Amino acid sequence: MAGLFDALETATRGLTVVQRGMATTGHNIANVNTPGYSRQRSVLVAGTPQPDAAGTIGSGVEQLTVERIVDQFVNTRLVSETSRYAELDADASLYRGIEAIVNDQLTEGLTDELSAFFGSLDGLANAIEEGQPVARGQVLSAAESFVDTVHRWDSQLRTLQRDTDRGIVGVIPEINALAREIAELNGRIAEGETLSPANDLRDRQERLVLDLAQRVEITTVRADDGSISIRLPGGLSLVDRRVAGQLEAVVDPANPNPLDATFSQVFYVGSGSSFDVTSRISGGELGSFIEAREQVIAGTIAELDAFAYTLADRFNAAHRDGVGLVDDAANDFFQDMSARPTIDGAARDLRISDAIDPDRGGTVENIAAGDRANIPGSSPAGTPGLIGDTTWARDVLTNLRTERAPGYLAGDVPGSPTGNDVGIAANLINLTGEIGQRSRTANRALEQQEALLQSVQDRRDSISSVSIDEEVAELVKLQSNFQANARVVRTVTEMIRDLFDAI
Amino acid sequence: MRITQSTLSRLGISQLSDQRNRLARTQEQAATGLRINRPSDDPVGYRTVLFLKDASSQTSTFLRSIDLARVRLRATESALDGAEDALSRAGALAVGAASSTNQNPGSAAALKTQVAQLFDEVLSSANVRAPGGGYVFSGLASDSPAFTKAGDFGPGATPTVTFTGEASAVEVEIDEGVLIEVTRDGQAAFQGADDAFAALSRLWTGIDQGDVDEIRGAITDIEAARAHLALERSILGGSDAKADSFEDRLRLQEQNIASQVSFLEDADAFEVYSDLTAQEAALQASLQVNARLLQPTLLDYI
Repeated sequence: MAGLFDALETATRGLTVVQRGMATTGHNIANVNTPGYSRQRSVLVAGTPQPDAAGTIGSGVEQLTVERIVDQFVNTRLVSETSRYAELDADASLYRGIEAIVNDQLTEGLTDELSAFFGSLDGLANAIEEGQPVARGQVLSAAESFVDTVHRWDSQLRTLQRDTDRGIVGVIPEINALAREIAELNGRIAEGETLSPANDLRDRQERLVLDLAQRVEITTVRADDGSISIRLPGGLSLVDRRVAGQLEAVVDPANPNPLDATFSQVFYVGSGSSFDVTSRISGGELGSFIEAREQVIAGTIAELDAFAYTLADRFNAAHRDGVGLVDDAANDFFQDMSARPTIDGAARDLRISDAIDPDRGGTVENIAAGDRANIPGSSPAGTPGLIGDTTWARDVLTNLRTERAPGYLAGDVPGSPTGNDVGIAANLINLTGEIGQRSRTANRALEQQEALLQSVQDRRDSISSVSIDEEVAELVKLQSNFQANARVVRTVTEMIRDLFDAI
Repeated sequence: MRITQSTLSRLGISQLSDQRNRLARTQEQAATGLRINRPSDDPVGYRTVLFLKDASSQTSTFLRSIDLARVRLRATESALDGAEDALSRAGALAVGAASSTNQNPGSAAALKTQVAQLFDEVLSSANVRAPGGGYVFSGLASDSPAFTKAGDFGPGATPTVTFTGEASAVEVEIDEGVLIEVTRDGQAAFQGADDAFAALSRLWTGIDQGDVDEIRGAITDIEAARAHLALERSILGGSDAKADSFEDRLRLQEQNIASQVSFLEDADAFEVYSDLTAQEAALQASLQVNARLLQPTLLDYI
């Protein structure tokens, strides 16, 4: 049967629960700005009742546990959207980099140089006698400055590619460190949760998973013991309970990129074996970097190669049919590149031909401004063109700017262009326009992903984040609860004293 | 939905950052005066602007061609004019010589000297060089004189003039595929069916021999040669007119392109400045709202 001391007991238990509640509320308030913190709540139940002849008498309050308020589904979505956001963010900043290289809008760029080059040929076509050496010199210097700009684009793109490669090498140790930390936390959580849920450790664990998701796309599975197992795309196990796999950046001698053999491949180091997973990684910063290096930047370089090769090939073919002022030899204007296996690297190797470049023993007199047909008929072989004859420059060379013919595409073999009919100027303009288009698409995708990520974060916040208002209200509640319990204690005490006084 | 302090602050920060982004973009437009500052600002517009700029550089090249074409046109025209003038004077001399029945040896000698001088005058006109070099009547072989004179006037002898240039008229491209002649074929002009040098030589011989019939024949020849040069000149006049009309057209085209480029790439100044003001005001408003929203909690009231 319930007595006064039972009532005292109930009130003290109530006081203890209130104090624990204060601790939890204080913990919540203290962590209001902690990233990844999930609010906690005491789970209370009425104490086990005691049967009594007069009915079941309650035994006060009992705290079952401290619960962490999370929605596992929202947290999983947060992981995948964070991965995607990090990837798109890296993509957009990559395109900003490429765009800055090819932007002709604020400074004189390659399209202006190309216009200037063809303009100089027009100048040669109009040059009168004494103006000819000057006009030829201008063609040479316009061509040199055009070639320099092609080289600048090429080398800046390659620098960007190398920087991206460094990014890959830099992000891998971070992934490994996070994997190790998560594996270690997995162990601590599994041990800790034998007694009660390790709420704060789980928050830290999920925070680390989010950090990891920023770097590479992952899928997570939470086991019953609270540990999280993490798989990379393609099913590679990065964290399996307490065991962390490792990635490694290795310079691969058999790199598919023959021009720059210093690129690192990503190797997965698992139990005793190690193999190349570069092509299997996707998502996150690492995925974006790999795609940038292997596809986006490499693709832009290849397009520039195709443009440079198309220009050199087509211009040389026309130039060989004209005639210069030295003899009737068929000279190339740009150094011949038709002996290479593919057109790769054409932008890097583009230069003025030996016959014309004065630094290589050539002369601008070899610029074929004249028409072979205008060499007087009876002349012996080797007779140069007439000095006043600039009709070849006028009728053939300058027209190449707009004349449409099949262009080369990235990876083509010299001699067999597979592209559509396109003029040289249009070819270049399309190249930069295309980059602009892709950059815009990347920016749009990033904006959309940002909104999406934000909505998931809002969802997570609405479930898990601490509200000061709520916590303060909770404090008020607890305080009054404490006062009420204290009053019970005082009343019981007085009653007991009354009893003692009566004796 | 449960809204907490962190939701509010994240929302506020992301809105502020959006606003600052927009403001930065508008600021860039105000600073450069351009709506398109990089290819991604308007990929289609950017491409069009590049095409237009390329077309504009072609147009200005053609305009330069027209200027240079005029230099040679003027040189050729004035050379033809000079030769025509010399032939007219030779014609007048010949008429005088034919009508004076009794010639004294002294005046015949003076006449012959004058004819020889006029001959050289025509020759020097035919060998004229354009400013900047180039014999205008030598066609494509513009580095060699158009005509070479061998021998001289003497008893029973007249000089022979050989065409040493290349027999063609030089053409200049003044628009895509449009060519105008800026010189004339020297051989056809001076030594064609109406040979100016032969006509003058015939006059000299007529005076030398006192042969009135020969002089009368020479008068016809000289007139024919003069008329031929006048014809050549009028053909060049056609080139001149064509150059003028194409220049007008190209200038108009240049202006059109410039206004199209400006329409595509230039920022509308009024729009930019009013945007800038509006965005500034919006930013300040959000800053104030955020400052007020983020501070208070229930704590302030209990």
